[in-house]
Amino acid sequence: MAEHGVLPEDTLTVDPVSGGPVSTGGPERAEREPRRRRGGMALVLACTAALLLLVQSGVGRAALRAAGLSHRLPGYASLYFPDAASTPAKLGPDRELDLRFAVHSVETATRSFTWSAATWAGKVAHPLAGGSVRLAPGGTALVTRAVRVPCTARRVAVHVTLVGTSTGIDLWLACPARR
Amino acid sequence: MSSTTVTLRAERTAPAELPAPRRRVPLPPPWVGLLLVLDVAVAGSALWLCRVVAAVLLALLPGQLALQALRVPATSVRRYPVYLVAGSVAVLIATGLGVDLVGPLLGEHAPLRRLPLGVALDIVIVLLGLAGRRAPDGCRVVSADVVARARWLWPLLLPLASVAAAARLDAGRGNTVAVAVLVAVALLVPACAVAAPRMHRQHLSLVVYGAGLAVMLLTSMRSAYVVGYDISSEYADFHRTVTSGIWHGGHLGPYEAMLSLTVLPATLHALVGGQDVWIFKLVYPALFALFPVAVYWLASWILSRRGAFVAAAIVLVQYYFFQQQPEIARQEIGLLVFAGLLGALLDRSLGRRAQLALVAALGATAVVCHYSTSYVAIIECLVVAALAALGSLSRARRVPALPWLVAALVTAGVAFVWYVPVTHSTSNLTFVAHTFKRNGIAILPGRQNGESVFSAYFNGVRQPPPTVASYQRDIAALYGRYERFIVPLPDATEARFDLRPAAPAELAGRFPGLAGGLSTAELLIQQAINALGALGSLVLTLRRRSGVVARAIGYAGLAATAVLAASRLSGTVAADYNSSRLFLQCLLVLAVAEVAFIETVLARRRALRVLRPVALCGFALALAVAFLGNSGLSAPLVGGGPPFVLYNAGEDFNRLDVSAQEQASAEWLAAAVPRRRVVYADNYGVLRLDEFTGLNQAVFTAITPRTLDQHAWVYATRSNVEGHLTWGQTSHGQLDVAFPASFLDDEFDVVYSSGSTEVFHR
Repeated sequence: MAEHGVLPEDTLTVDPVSGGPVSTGGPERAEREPRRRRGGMALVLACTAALLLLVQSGVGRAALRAAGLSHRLPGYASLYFPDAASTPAKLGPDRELDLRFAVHSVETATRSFTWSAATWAGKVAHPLAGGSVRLAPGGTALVTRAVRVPCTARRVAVHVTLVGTSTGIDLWLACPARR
Repeated sequence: MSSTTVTLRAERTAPAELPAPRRRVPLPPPWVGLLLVLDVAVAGSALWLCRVVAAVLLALLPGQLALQALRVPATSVRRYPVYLVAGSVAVLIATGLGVDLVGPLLGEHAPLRRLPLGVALDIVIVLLGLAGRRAPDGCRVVSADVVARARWLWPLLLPLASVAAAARLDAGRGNTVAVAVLVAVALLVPACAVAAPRMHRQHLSLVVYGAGLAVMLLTSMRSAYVVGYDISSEYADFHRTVTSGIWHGGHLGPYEAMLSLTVLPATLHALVGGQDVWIFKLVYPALFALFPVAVYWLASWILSRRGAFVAAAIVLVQYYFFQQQPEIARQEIGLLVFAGLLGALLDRSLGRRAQLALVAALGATAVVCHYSTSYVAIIECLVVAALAALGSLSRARRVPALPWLVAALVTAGVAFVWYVPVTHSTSNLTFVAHTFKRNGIAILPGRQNGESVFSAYFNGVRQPPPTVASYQRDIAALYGRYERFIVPLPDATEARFDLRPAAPAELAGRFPGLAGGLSTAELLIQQAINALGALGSLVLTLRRRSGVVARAIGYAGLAATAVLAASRLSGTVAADYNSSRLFLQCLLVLAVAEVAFIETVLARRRALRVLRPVALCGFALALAVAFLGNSGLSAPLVGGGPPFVLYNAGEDFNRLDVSAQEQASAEWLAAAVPRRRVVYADNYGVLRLDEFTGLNQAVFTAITPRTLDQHAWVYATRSNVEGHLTWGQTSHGQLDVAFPASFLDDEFDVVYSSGSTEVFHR
């Protein structure tokens, strides 16, 4: 309703340099400026929201993996003695050992693990037993095997390893006294 | 104009039969809509989008309404947006604690869960909204008070790049992105110092925030676990609170008693969703990144825009800001609240009642967040109050002492109540008292014969480093005297099993000749920062033309300098509180005082004034050089230890990066060991055991042949097994020691193996 040619008072502001009134470009610009700012902010927020929804989708996850931003931890397997608090410390006169150990898989798919048990005399391995187990992810297999342990010294170590990995457990056994 | 008049008259004389103009239904206030959005986001927290929305609203909305209820003017919030987040932290802690205490009375035995917390937060927010409904319009904060333009948000791309950099490094995809982030931050410091006068204050503060958060995330976002020494134990307490769904008072250890490690993160986790570890890895750094922003806004009250940016950059380039702090969750929140408290104490735009209410609320919040931050805050407030009282005798502009006195008294009072009758967690104070009783103040304990006091002061409380042989001897003697139930094996003393030093892991570097020069430059810059802080505080205090805020900053700077000098002079103080962490807290005012010194000196004469921009930009350039060394960016160029933020190797990687195998073997060990047993794990193995199993009783850290019990269980981490490295803890620091694998292999069974970790027993 303002008269043509007369600027309404709200479009006048004080010039910081001259101290006099300056025009900021009329009412349209005064309204357009904050509206444009709000529009810009809304656009940024909408893009952010869309991006967040996208990265959680299957396509987004694949893209993250391709860019090296998301990766599965490498799988592994662990070996342990189930009765670790009471493992045998010495061999009987027959040098027989009931070898009991467990294999636990933390792989992402079902796979086979080959194990071997041996003693070492210097740098020469003396195989005692071997085998393989097939495990699903998170699966555990208990392996029990009777082995005869050769006594080449006062005490011997039985090593159980998963073939092709650095995973291995050891058991020191005192040999029976010779008669 | 005449037509307008006619229209108005027509309305006033409208005939009665015409329908009455519709009454406008008043719109609900904006916070009601935001509360609904928050509820939806909390309910849909399976989506990342909802988590981000919930986290942002939790950081801002409660604080906004609390400030409105306290009648804090919006102009004050615009001048210091830290109030918003510090206020939200205070409200969230109070809400979480209230739910924790009231929940069991209402039959909810795990109250720190989403539903009880969500309902309680809704009630609190509605009450705060109602309390603030009659507040003047000038107290209504709008989003434009924090960020007015979308295009100023570009610095937030830097933290995103950091997250990507950490993920790529973890995946073994190289450090290119990490290097790019560090280079960008190093360039931004001098570039923004040059451009500062042409940038909006909000824009500059977003640069400070984005850069600060980016460098912190390079550390905190490494690995799938928390990264750091303290934070591992902190996470154990947090995780226990999350799993039990309740926090109990009573006789607690210091970590258990800090709500910043229990109730607050459990509340955030329940409302934001996701794995709890992300609260410490992502949310806490995002909150603490406001610390240099606080410096920026405080500085902008008395300095030029460029000066304020340079003051913030002083904090930004310190390794103990971006590398050490993300490893200490409690202090991240403690310092954020302290920044809010200091702002409220210095802010002249707050009304007296609003100021005192804010000071009291934030002082009490600081107490339950972090003990040491509160102690330092109490000392600083008392010193400033005393200086203000002294200053009132002179003709200079008076600094009101009352707010500082109130802050000191409230903080000390709440500290007493919280630490003594509520949580009985005074073990750290009794330790300090015990140390003082035993050692006295221990002035300059590292001073050598004939060395001057000044030299000894600048060298700090250093001691000659022990050797591996002396460590082996001393630790065996210590165990022999105090741990008599431990029976080592007879073979342990054989020479072939003697401990050996570990081989250092060093990068070669392309320009090793530059290492000495860079190190000297860093030292000089650091010493300049120290000296300028004290000088600046003195100038602001004594200068006749200082305004009230500048003088108050001068007083606070003098108080901070006194606290720092005490920690430098006294071996006992230094032993009780890490000096770099103390320095960071003091930098909140000292950084402002430093730049104030430069601006003041160069403003004295007209001829010098033209040099002011040059001096400030030159100082910013020097800070960028310091950042090169502090961030590890210089390591590929000049050599040295591989920095954790750039390599999957090196000292920090060996110590702090946790693997899934370490977690699995810790959990196996905790399940396998009998009740009566002796467990050994080195300093970092102990952290894994505590973090994943809570196994922290009768666990010994000296994995040496002469201190291992013959029936011990030994937990060997990836660093022990693959890196052949362990650490010897001495009273003068840590020694790198070769892991005694030959002894363990010869004398013990390996009862568990994951390839990269092992458990020994016999």
